[in-house]
Amino acid sequence: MNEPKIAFMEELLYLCKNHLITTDMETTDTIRIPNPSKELVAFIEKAQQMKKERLKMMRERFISTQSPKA
Amino acid sequence: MLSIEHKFSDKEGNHLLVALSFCDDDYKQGVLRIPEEYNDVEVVDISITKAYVEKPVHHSVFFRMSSWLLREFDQRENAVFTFICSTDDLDTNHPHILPQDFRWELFDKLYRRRSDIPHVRVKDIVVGPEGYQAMGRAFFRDRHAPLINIIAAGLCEK
Repeated sequence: MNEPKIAFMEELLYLCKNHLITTDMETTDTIRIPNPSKELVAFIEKAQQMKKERLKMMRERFISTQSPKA
Repeated sequence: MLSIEHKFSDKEGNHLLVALSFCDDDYKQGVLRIPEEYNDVEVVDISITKAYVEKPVHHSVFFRMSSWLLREFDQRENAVFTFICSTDDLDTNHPHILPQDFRWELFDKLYRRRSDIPHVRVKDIVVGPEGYQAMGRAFFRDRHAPLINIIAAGLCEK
């Protein structure tokens, strides 16, 4: 087994042992983080901002392709 | 970031725009911290918007859109789809419901309307206290469950 794969498996075992992930076959589940860290909030805000820009560009691209009414 | 966009229109000339944005390797490894072993898995983010924000769109358009999303997921056997609920302002007939809660409920109802597809698994993440929540959802197959769990664990550890 090569080194990167061993490191990945060690991390997976750590996460399982510390109940940070589950390995049973749930169909749906929800992770709730009611008190997120500043880092997580910043990550989500950035993702939201990127999404907002993406949506704006989609709308602008679409509108620019529409021919004006006579 | 590569994107595929699609337009859905009603008979009134109103349109729903949908994009599937494919996360590049830098984002997958640097931000999501996906292990190299899963680098070949496509992580695809769903974006949905009305072309004309102030105009309503017939509900049949949403049904067609959700069918298209499911077909795209079905065709991409090595992909996980994600959806981050926007918190942008939204005019609805339900002013007592927060925009993100309204969007989330709508998206969830559209998915559950087609819950006959057995191979799709779902994991949600809700961040923040009541009234100030951000929501996200991942759609994936059984074999990608470890990857989703790793991403979720990474977010929990932030």
